[in-house]
Amino acid sequence: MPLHISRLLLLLGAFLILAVIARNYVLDPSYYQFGDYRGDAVVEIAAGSPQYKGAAYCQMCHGERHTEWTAGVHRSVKCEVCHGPARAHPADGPLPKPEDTIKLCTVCHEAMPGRPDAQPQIVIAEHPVKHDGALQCLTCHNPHSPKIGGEEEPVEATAAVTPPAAETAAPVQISKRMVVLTTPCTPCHGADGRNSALSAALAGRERAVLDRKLQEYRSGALQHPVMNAVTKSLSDEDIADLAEHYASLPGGPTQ
Amino acid sequence: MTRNPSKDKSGRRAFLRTAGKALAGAIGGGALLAKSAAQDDHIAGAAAAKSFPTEDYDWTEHRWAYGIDATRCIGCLRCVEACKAENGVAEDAHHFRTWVERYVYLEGEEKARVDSHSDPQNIAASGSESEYRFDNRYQDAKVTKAFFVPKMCNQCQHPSCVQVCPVGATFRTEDGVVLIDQTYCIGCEYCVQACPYGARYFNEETRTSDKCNWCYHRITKGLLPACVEVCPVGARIFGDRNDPSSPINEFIDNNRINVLKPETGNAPTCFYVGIDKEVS
Repeated sequence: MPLHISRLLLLLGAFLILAVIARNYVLDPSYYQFGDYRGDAVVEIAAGSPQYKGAAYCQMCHGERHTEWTAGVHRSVKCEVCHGPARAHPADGPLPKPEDTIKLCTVCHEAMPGRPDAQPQIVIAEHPVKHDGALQCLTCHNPHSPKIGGEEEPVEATAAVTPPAAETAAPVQISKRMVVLTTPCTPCHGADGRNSALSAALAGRERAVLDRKLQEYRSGALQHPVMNAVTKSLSDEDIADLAEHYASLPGGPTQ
Repeated sequence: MTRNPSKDKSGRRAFLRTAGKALAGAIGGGALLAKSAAQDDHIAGAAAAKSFPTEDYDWTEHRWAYGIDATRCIGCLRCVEACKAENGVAEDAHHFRTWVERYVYLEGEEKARVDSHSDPQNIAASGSESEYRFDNRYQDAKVTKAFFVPKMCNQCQHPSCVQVCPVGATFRTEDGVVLIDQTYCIGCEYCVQACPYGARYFNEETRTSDKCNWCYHRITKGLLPACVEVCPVGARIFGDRNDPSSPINEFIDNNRINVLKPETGNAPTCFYVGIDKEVS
């Protein structure tokens, strides 16, 4: 055999030996297990730990919130959308409560071309409440069930108003109409009409005064961004009924 | 100098014969040797474990698919945020596994204006590169048509990225997800260029390619991908084509569905509803 041919064969043989060594000792044993890739890579990727745990995980401790949330229109917005991924919570501390709710809520609810009509949207500058930073969305809206006055089961949610002065007394039963009428009032004034931290206390005040004030807010004679907005659609009868309702509640500071 | 042509010919023939035999022998011997004991043990071990890749999950039983209903998308970008948190994607505006495009047709214009969260005006509106929102630049414009389109890896049945990978670092699993083996990826970025959908990005920290894998670590545990989990309006639908009760089958059966760039032959398994001719 000519010398140049045997050299070539020698080279070929050396290459084959190297290839066999590489295949057996350098290549991962799981390579070619299923195809031209490392089978163990699939196992490694599948072993990653999920960061988002899902609403059922939250429900284990926050059952009350979960119930409230599933009854409201925000039920399609899972806990972790606003509070962030649960990760190792509760072991590594509490999850954030969003502070700048104007910024957060408008991510979905700012009126914008391209958003489907079914999505509730607000023109920020025209929304009943002036968004100057002093009033957060949560002042009027409950984030877990944000629709004011029209939640599916308002009777169950707020019908029983317990007068705090008499723990043993039976809850005051109010009509369904009154439940709907008072829904916008409750976030600030409280179900018992006594919450004076955010607003004026209403419980036990004179009927005529409440009636007159409501009419003045409605007409704009009295100026208040929230009150003007929530009284705009009230009829005279609504105002009279609301005044009577709050006048009939027992007064005194919130306990 | 004259040479004997017949002798020359027989010499070449003899050489080819010998060389051919030697080559065949060497390849055969090499192949036999390659089936080393270690490899056989590994494969036998995997087969004995019954299900792969985890004890509770057998990838031969599933066929994943993804639906995107663009008529529902509100462009809130919670999917982008969740994807990054779930998968440890860099929290800046320019590295992402999923994104949302806004298409806006203005009165008198033929072509749509397209932007996404990485547009400078949108970064300015969100306040930082690690927060994501669309600005409201078209609120006073005469908009004739506008919509949002979520995008991500299409998990193609004939993926171009897999075809071009020189080291077998990217591949399609039995259950229909294209994965990246981060330890084998050499960072050549051929796949980033090969993807017709721009779904891959290069991770400068790890020096490897990265992309959406439908949260493979979640779906193999019975969870939804993070983007589907957080979508507040049900614009993202995910499920198993092998499971008749899966929402993905309802989505595919009850809608006229499209895929992006069907002409490439990539055969995506992301199915779209409500996209326009300019979306590709």
